[in-house]
Amino acid sequence: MDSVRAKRRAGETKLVLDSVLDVSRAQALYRTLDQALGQSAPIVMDGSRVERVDTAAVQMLAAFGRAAHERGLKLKWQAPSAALRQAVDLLGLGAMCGFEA
Amino acid sequence: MAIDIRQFHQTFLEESLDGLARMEALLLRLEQDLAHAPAGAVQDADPETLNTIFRVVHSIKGSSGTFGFRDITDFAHVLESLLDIMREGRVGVTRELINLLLKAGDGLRHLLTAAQTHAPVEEPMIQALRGELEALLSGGVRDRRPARTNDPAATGAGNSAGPWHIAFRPKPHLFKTGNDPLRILRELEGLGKLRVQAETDGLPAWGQFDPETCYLAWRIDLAGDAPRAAVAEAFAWVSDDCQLEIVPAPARRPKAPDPKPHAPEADHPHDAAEGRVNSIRVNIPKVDALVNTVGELVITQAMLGQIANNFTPDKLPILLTGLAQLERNLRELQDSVMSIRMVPLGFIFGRLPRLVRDMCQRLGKNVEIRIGGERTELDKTVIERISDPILHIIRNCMDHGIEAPAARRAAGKPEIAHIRLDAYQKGGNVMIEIEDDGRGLQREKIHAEAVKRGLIHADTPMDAEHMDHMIFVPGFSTAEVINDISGRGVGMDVVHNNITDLGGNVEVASEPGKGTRFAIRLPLTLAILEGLSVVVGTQTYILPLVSITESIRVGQGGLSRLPGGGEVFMLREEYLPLIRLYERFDIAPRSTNVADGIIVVVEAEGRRVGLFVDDLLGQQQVVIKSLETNYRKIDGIAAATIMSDGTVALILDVGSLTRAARAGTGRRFRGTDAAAPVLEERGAGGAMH
Repeated sequence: MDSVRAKRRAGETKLVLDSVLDVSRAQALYRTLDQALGQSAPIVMDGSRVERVDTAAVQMLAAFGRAAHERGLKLKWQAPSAALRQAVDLLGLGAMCGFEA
Repeated sequence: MAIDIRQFHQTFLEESLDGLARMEALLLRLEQDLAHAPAGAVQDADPETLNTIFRVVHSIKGSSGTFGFRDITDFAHVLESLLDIMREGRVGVTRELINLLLKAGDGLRHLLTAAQTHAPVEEPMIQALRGELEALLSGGVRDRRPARTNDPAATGAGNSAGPWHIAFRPKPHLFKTGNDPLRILRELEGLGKLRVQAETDGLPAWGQFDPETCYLAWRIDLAGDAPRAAVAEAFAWVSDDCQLEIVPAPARRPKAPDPKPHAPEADHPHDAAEGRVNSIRVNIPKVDALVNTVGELVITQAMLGQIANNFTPDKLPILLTGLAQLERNLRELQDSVMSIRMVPLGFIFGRLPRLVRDMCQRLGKNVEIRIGGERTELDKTVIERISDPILHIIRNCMDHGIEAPAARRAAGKPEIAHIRLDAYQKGGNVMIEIEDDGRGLQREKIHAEAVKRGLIHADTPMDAEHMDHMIFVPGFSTAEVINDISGRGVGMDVVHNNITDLGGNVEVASEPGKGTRFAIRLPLTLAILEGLSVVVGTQTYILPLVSITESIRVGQGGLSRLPGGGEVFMLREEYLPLIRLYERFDIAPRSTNVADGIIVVVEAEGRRVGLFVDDLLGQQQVVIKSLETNYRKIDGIAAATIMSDGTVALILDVGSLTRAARAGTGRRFRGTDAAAPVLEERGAGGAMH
């Protein structure tokens, strides 16, 4: 099962994160995120379904956030779950992941 | 290109041992400061001292981690954490703490030595030490410092409880171990309020990003008063897979410079940990001098080459000047090369304060040791072999020379005894003096013991000097009267023999009630010998200058023949055995009449004998070539050398000659073990290299 699904909509790339984001699925997540960076459209991340997340995944989201910023791509989070928010905050990576403070 | 880091192991181990020696010296200094502080007061330790000690351990921890010595890293880590809270001032410096730190230093040294020699580690000892350190860390020792108003750390609970500042740097493979920093942070969250700051500098560009590698590190502030152990517990699963620092939180550190990531500077070679030296680390100036000299040698060679290319007789003066310069360059080169083998005595002296301290505790004595001349240098081989004799003399002083405090008080002496140790160069020798202000040698007991052992008659009068020297007689010094270190199996005779084997000598002088003084004289090097060349028939022999006491002429009438066949001659009312070297080596002399030649009086192991030779040639330095290596061992001959004319000369073994003579067998070897085969090589020039 993929940890993320990407949908192309008019003018934006929407990524829906799966319920479990961890190191075992990190390679797959990387490939999808990589594709999203290849599109020159704003990115919308749907993190509403995330229930379990680990540091490897959050680190990647942070690296992704930075990469998007470097490429001038807009990154917007849509309804991140409490589990995701907590993990990102606890790791001190909120800003880098693109979460609003 | 892969780098084999094993090649750096030796350097790491040596530098670490150096560092430990420095740490030990500093701890002892702290302890001394403590002793001079008002009783019971907790010492305000010099921050720089603590910082230096911290850096030593920190550097060992860092390097051992790099080289994969995990048990060293772990141990150093615990020690480092303790030192860290010490320099924070959160744990007062006490005698017990210094004791523990010294023991921890020993533990670390044990681990390092085990790594060096691939010896098994004494796990129980290390575990016990670790336990003690950890107990202290987790609040076993109460902070005895009064709360400082400007130091939030000191207020509150007053033991080693939070708030904490944690630096957590996972190794890149952390995720693959199944560990998750998030889990740790959640656990910490349960201990108190967290403030987490991620260090993202390690994150690569997206293209190079590997999803399974951990690139991040964290700085965590943990509020509240969680005990250190609980904090450390949260990291228990990852302790091998991360770098972790847990320090008390008020980050306003007393201007401690950041621990240096590299090893401490190596400009303290005299602080080395052990007398045992497997390799030599050479000071840069010595190498520079060597390079300089070689440079000059090249110039001289070029100059000589030029002269030779178009030589005309009128250039002879320039040629001679050039040759003189060549000779000077070579002498300098020799000096420079020899100086590389020179190691400062600090290698040995550095260990002594600890030895004295430990013995003080065991014996209930109060002794201060004053050390001078630790920069005096000796050949590496000499250093290695003089270490035990010096330690033994010091032990003897501590054990027997110095009285218990009560006895000292009763004798009207200050309670604190002193041992003075000094070293200096004197001509081609190094003098080492060890002096105590103890009770002195107990001559009545020595005399009684000597009589008991049949060494002297009960009514033989003995002068003080002779009596003192008796302690060096084999089998004597282990006597319980003056020396109950028996069980160690070494006595002063071993000390004496070790020193004479090195071509040196040791003298003892003692004053009852005032103290004892040992003076050791050692040659600077074992590779070069200051000798006197003597002629016997057509042969030249070298006598070590240190063993010669005088040369005399004796008329034929001055000799007496003993019933056993030996000969003696009279020297200032003392009969000394005479060895006719031509007889000893079975060669034809110029004359068999002693009046025609010279008797050289030599001394070894406290015995004097006269050697009859045809003539003295002169004093000179010779380079020692081992006979054993190049030919075989011959009794009476210590080594050989190559003379300036290319011939081989034998260096006499004065010790074995005197032993044989004193045993009344001065002529025993005649013809049996003749050195003829070697002597035939004479003229073959470089037969030996």
